[in-house]
Amino acid sequence: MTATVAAHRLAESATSWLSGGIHHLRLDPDDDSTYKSLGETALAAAIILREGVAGAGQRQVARDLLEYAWWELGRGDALYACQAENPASTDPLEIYAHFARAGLRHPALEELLRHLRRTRPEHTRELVPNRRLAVANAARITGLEPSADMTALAARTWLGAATAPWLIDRTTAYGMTHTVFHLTDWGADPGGLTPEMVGYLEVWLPVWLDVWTEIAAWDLVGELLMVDACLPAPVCPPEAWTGLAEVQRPDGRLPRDAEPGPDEPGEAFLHDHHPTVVAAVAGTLGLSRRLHAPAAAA
Amino acid sequence: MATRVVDGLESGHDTGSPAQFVAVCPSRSRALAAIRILGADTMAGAALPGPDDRAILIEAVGTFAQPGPDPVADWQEWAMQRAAGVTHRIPDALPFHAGDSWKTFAGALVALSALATPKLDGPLHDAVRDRPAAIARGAARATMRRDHPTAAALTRWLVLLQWYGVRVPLDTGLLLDHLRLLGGAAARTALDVAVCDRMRR
Repeated sequence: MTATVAAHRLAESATSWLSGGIHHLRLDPDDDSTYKSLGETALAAAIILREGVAGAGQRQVARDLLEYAWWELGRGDALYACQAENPASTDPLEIYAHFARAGLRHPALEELLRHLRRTRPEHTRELVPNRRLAVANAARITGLEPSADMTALAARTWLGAATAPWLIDRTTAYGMTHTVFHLTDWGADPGGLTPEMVGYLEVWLPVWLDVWTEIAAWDLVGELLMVDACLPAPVCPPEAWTGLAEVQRPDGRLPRDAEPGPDEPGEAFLHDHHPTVVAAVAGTLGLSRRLHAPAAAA
Repeated sequence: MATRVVDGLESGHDTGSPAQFVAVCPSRSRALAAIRILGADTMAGAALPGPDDRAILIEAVGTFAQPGPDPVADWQEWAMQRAAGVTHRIPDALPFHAGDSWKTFAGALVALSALATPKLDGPLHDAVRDRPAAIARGAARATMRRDHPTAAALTRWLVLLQWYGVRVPLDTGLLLDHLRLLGGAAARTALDVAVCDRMRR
């Protein structure tokens, strides 16, 4: 199996599993994680539609997932209610951005967000630097007037400082991956990374991938492969893609780690929703980069 | 034996030759095994070898000779012969290949850390100069995995590359201090760190 085939299989199979179990994911207004999971579903669907490398069947599944999540959020009304309830929250903007990217809009929410832009939402809460980038990129995707300099925000991240690569821990690794996602707008613009960041990642990404593969941290491994797909040219070996595809279950579910996770379908879906979203996005970006860059490793 | 070498490196005094080490050890075979494992580093902290030391080093090589072809062992033996001041044929093959992954390449160098010294030079050293990133990756990976002996062995190669004037993609001083403070009490790790310190002076 080549990396291209593995990436394709990862994405297609993961999308199918998400589609089959999406009815288990219902909005609970008192549970922030349900907003987040619906937003991540929209992220996966929007990236699949943006990249345009999926077949007709998978594209339709992506549209259905997007529509389901949008419907579950009251076509944006639930996000509007959240934002009205807590004007300082950045969550509604970050979730809304994925729908807005795919053309699903909520004019009243956007009017409120435009007003809140003037309060510089990247700074209205004590956010760690990569989270500030998340807010800035969400605003960029949504088409709101920029209120933050992405380059200046990036310089304050862990990746921006490029310190001792052996001191990265799991939390920092997730922060690093998200710095890359936001600066490149989820792989759309590798030029969003500084040359120093690219050079640093080219050396160290294969090391981190190796270490977290060894301990079966599949969710993080998927995110690290997403980072690889966000670089100007991939640096991770093809075996990393085929290895993750082999871990994925035949039905498309990607376990988050070496623990098998629950068997009951509803519990299983919520348990492994995130890693499987990661598989769908990583596979889509990995496939897209290989199809659009013939010189890249197969 | 490794502790004696470290003492020699850190104090600057000759803390004992291999021949003396064998003489004071209760088991001659274990002493020879220790010398074979330490390889050319046996002489790292000592003055020039005397005739007795030469004989001991050659005996250690002969006692634990590999039954089949083994490029890593060949290079270790070459280095031991050089440390003993004995002329020895340079091995025919390198212990790695041009297309090896960084992990395979770095893995081959771990067992050859005794060759990472300005006292030795050869085709193997020429080949290593071209791959600083592969060695740095191996050192960082080992440090993350708390495999400090491996990290120290690879850091030694990185410090040698810096001694050659080759740029390496990590701060070796920072990594050495990390290993010094958190790398445990293994004598072999301390030896590699001490050799690095000497190269950096």
